[in-house]
Amino acid sequence: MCSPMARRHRPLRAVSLVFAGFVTLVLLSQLSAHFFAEAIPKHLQAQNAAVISSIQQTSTDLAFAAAALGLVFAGAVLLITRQRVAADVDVYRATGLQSSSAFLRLLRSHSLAPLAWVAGAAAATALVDVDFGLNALFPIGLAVSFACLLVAWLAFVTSVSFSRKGFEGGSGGRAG
Amino acid sequence: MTTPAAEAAIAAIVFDSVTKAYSSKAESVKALDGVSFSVEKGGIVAVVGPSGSGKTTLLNMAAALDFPTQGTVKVAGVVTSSLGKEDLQKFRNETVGVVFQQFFLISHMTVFQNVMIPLIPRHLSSAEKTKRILQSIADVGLADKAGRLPSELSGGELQRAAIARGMVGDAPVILADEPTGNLDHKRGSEVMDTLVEESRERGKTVLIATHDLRLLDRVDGVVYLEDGKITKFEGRRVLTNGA
Repeated sequence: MCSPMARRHRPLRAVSLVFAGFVTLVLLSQLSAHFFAEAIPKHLQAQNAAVISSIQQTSTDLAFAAAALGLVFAGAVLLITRQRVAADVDVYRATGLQSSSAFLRLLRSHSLAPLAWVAGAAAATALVDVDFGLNALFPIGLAVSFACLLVAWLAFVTSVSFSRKGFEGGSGGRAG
Repeated sequence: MTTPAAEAAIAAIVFDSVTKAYSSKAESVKALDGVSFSVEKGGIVAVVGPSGSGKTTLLNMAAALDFPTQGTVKVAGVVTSSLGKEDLQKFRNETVGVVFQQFFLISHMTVFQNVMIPLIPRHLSSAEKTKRILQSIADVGLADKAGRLPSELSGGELQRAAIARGMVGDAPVILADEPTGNLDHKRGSEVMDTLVEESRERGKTVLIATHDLRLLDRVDGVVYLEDGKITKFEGRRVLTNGA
């Protein structure tokens, strides 16, 4: 039914993409520390234990920083897109849908594919190299945390919209 | 003068001494102040007034999206403020169809999918739903654009898609808030023609909020609103409830 030129601007897809970028950054910071340490010849590793440890520590610090930035950015984008999401919820409410039905439709309209890709990549990395101490649970946990944040946010916006009076298309304004 | 009993029998929409006040710490503002009028079944009535006069509040009340601080609103024989949660959703779905000024089509859905929204809670077969959706879209002249996204439509087409969504549920009462507000005069006239023709053909009762006085020759009656109060009635099919 959709014309070839049509592009679907799904709400919050940008949030997933931004956050997926940050989770990838976390993953890359861990991988870079891994490959840097691997590059040091075996017979020199014992003498450079302190250096390797320092690299791993820096990598972990970078990963935490990227994760924190990712959460802050994702939260900010969620706040910015609230009005658009609330407008969609208002349409569902005004046409007589139940709040649970509206919530499910919001979830279905939001693509979690970027997060699934990152979580999959992190899991694959962990399977390849578990004994180095590459903590794939970290980016996976981060992706899951973001998915939970997103679901909780959508539930909150739906709940607020359904408990509100009037129809303002999520604008908060009151016309005519 | 019509008696209350006679009014109840012929009126589709009844506002009875409706006041809506919004309170803040500093002040209390009355968006509607003692508004009383009725619209006959099958009538097309415009509510006219400047921005901020209470038109949208009045339509929100009729759509059961908001409720009076005092007085009652009765639509199709139902007092909106008496409805429980489930009945309220059923009322919004089956009794009223709403057309908004800014269209409020969901941007990532096609015209077909947007028009389908009011039918989601209905216990109809998929084939029946598809048939009704395509018919509604064809009725507003968008048959060849059912698969388009809102971003691919013009302003007039967006509003016609919104009208199709308001009509698809076959609700007896249609509420339109500034349906031509975002359109130029030519497109506004076309949209108004579509709304009026569709409503008359299907025997709908229509309440339109507008500040566009050029549209008034198409309606049966006019209620003039200013600062939340009715200042004048004109035409037929609008009853004054003794006001």
